[in-house]
Amino acid sequence: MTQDVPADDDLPCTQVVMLITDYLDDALAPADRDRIDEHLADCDGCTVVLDQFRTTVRTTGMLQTEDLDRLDPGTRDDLLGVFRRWAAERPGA
Amino acid sequence: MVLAGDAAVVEALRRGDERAFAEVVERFHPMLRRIARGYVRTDEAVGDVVQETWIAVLRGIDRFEGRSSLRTWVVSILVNVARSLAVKEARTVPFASLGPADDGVAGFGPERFQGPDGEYPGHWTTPPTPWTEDPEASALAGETRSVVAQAVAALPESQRTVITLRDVDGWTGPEVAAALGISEGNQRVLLHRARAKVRLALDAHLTAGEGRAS
Repeated sequence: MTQDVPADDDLPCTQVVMLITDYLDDALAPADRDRIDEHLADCDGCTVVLDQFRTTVRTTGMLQTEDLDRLDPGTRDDLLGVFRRWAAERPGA
Repeated sequence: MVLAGDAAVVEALRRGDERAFAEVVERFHPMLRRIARGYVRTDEAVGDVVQETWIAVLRGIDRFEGRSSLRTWVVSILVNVARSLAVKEARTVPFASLGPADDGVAGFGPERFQGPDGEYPGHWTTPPTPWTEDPEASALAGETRSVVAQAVAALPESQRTVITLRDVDGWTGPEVAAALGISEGNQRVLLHRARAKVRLALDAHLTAGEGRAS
């Protein structure tokens, strides 16, 4: 893989970089996907970007929900109170 | 924590099992808050939406038939509650607008590419270099994880919600688009912008000390 002279119908790298998420989601028309595959085969820079996006997705996936949004104890207690009232009022409770 | 299947959880809730409820709340609550934030403005309103949702979930639990997952069902209740409250707040649904485009190309400055007068317009002048360290390995150690958590926390709200649902909670694109009431295309635009910023933060972290940022 080398930084070859781009083919005449080659996509610019800017466009490939903007389409990485569409590419990873398989949301592109087959012809567009093929053009990106052809571009990636010859472009080290865009291949690095694709790899880094994949790594970013996996690394973000290692976050736990509690890294981002913690359930505070007060809210938890409020909701358990809601549950107890609901359970007590249930027919047959 | 190994979670029981939906059917067992629902059965436990119907029996009035408080521990089962506490577990479900622990599991769903942060996600519900994230989605609610897409519909209403204040923290107080977010809290109201989520609390109303849990009440509606309990009232409706006998009607849950297991045709969708418990998560999908709870989220659909939340979206209904949030929409009616958003109407009262006279708030326009914020995710419908993507906000201004970010500078550069997915976090790469325009100077990284050849201009229109270049030999190959739009191709790299300064291509990125591969990361020498695997951030997944160091994410386990915690430092990289906090870099990513901070980058996610710093995102505009709509981008933060989408990347969290997609890449942390593991939702599909169509699920996120439906829950937030946006098109799949707009969902992907928000996701791409969010991932671009997290990638940039990881890049700065991983190349710190090497005297460059790619």
